[in-house]
Amino acid sequence: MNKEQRSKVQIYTIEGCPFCMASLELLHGLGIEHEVIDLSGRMDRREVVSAILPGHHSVPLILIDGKPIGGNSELQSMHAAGKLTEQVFA
Amino acid sequence: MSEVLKTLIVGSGPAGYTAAIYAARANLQPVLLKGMQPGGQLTITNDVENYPGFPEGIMGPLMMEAFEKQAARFDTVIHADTATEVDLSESPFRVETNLGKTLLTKTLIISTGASARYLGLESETQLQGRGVSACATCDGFFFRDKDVCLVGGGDTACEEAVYLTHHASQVHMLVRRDVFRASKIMQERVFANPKIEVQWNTEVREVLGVDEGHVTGLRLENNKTGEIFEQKTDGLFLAMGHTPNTELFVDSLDLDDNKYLRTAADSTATKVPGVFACGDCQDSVYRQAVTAAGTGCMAAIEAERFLEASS
Repeated sequence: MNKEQRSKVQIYTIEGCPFCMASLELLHGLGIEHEVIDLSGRMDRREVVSAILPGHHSVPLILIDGKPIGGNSELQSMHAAGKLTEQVFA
Repeated sequence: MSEVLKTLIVGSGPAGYTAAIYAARANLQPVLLKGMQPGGQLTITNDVENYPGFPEGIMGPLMMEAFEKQAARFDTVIHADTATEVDLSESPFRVETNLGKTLLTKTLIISTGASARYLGLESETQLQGRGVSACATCDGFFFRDKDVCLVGGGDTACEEAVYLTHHASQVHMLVRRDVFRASKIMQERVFANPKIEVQWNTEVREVLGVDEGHVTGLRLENNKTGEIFEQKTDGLFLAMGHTPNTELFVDSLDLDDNKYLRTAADSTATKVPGVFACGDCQDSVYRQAVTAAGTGCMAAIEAERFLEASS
């Protein structure tokens, strides 16, 4: 049964970031459509990320319906607990 | 239930991809699961200068891209998926994955590598991503013109410290002993870099800044004098080495005291016939990309011979 995606998923990444790749591969593998915001080469990378999640100094940064959930380890933990697909799909 | 594979490879560093290349060329039609950190430790390494064949060195991620491409060239089926459960009690072996697949296989090659070692402090966990990082390549930029500390004394620690000087205003290397474990050439680079200060006999007791929501400093101990002191810093990078990713196999295979998979002498064979282990998940001595590739090759050849003997 194909489930309809009800949540918007965004992911801030940079090139050459293996944890960004791991997150992207998980989203792709689960069939979760997502917007990739590539911060490579952006000198305001720190400000962009901190504006979304104050104090966060890392990529990737994943948002679901505009709410930051954290980085790759948070995304993987959410999936391991069965909560990621539960939240994203109808 | 899926068809029974001839060879399933779990893990995608130099060991896994080399096993795939050899297995594919032996017509074992290997399937490879990339795992939680696709490409392995080399993807958080900048310049790999000691892998033969690259006189000018090569960026770790590019090297792993090339390995993957070569494995795919010989028709390895590569899945962006992770093994979450294994049953090695009978053949074919059963492997469950993160994306809900069940895979059955006659031979299993374990190349799960190792993951970054953390200090194990509660404050470190709470401040991960908020100034605590195990990936200088990923997060170094966030510390442009800031002061950072780095824990570790091996080649990786020295390489990451030098890399961080491209961003940070100052890098303090916190080394547990009074000597580096690193190769002489990496030590020379550290000592020659004016932005790196080495603090010997220094261990982290607490990461400060939990209430503020970001790293503000460290509580350190000089393990020679016993002195405890606080040091302001904006970031803490961990480069203390790795622990093998072998939790999945704790109940089915033999592990040594440091959680490395045990294999027979001069072999990648584990105690379960048809299951082979290669790379950093079974090598506590060398832990180099080239030795991992070597054992990956051995594992594939041993898997091929196992299948021939049992057919």
